[in-house]
Amino acid sequence: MNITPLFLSLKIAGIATIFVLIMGTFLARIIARNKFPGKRIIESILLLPIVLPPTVVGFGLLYLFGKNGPIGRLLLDWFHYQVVFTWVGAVIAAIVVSFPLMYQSASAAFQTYDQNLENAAYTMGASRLKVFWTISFPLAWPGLLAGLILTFARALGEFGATLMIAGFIPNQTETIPLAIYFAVESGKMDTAIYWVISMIIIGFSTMLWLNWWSGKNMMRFSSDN
Amino acid sequence: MLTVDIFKELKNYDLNIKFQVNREITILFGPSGAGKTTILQCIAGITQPDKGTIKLGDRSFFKSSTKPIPIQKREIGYLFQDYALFPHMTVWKNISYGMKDRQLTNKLIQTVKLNNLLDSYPRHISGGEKQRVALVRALATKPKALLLDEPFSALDQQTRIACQDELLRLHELWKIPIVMVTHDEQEANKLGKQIIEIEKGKEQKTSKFK
Repeated sequence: MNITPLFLSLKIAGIATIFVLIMGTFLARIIARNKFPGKRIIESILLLPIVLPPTVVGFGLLYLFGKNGPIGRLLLDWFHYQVVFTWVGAVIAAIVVSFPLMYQSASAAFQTYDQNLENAAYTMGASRLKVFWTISFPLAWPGLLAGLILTFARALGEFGATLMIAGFIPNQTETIPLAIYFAVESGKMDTAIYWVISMIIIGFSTMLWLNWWSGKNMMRFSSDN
Repeated sequence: MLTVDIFKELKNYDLNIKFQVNREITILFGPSGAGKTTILQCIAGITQPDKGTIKLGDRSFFKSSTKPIPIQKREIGYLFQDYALFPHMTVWKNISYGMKDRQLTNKLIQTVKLNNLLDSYPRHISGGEKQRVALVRALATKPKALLLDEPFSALDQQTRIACQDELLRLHELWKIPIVMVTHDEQEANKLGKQIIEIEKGKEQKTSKFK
């Protein structure tokens, strides 16, 4: 049995999750806490992939990153690089569809603790960066972790947008969800069942581990006085 | 000397107040929602007034039409009403967060008898102990002025009196301008050298004591 789809899935979902964790956390910290004109519009755009069908997101990405698309052309001209039909395209699809989940969890997480904790740190002379790493981040961590779980799960299960931008190229963009679909389509039920069971095992053990781990960590970071 | 002369538009009324604090305890006294906390926040730099001036000694923190000095650079100790202790740090980590002088900090810890609590987390200590940790944490940064927002309101009578006495003793040693918000008349009379009564953002009456 070829296990490339497993490695590809973990690689793509893992890289996407790291990107989304960093971007989601910082954007949520900056946008959710501040008031500025156009805030609602920006947030609506960031959250749009939640309500759109993945094929619409995929179509949009194909347009942006295609050979003649605004971003695709730049990449091609400057770096001679194309993301359509590569695993990088799959990473981009996973990032876009899972980003809103992280953003929502993170903006909620940054509102769960008293803002005066940050103010207290500022009055003691701490820089913005120090306050973020020593106060905001650890106190928001339980909520960020919840977002991380959702992001990884969503990225791992991504199908529609991935198929549109990365296509189905065996051993290159063949993630588990795509492998299942195309196995069924070509009548290879054994392969399909194998991947379906693998997916359930991965999902279950991830949840089990994260639940155990977060339970342990939440006690440490518990913010109730 | 701390000089405050500020105007700020609030939701239901305008805050418009002017006062000076020497190396003494000044009380801002008045009902809830009179704008007392907003005054402290303006002095600390957590929020900004619309216009006016705030000065500590010869350093100008705020002056209309110039960029205000950021919170971090004001060197003002601030005791929040609910203490704002960092829940994920031990008492010692809390106290040493912005500590400038270790020897002085150790002496403060001795003075208010926190030695045995340094490894505890805030959720495991009593209200009076939290209050003392917050006070030491603020003083460990060697502030040039101290702001206290109803620091004793959550304490029982006995602890409150002990903490008030402690504050008076520490002030004897430090002699920095202290601005304290309270709506407890007894407390105001006991601690204040200057009591400014405030209602709806305006000064009603100022009493000074020798």
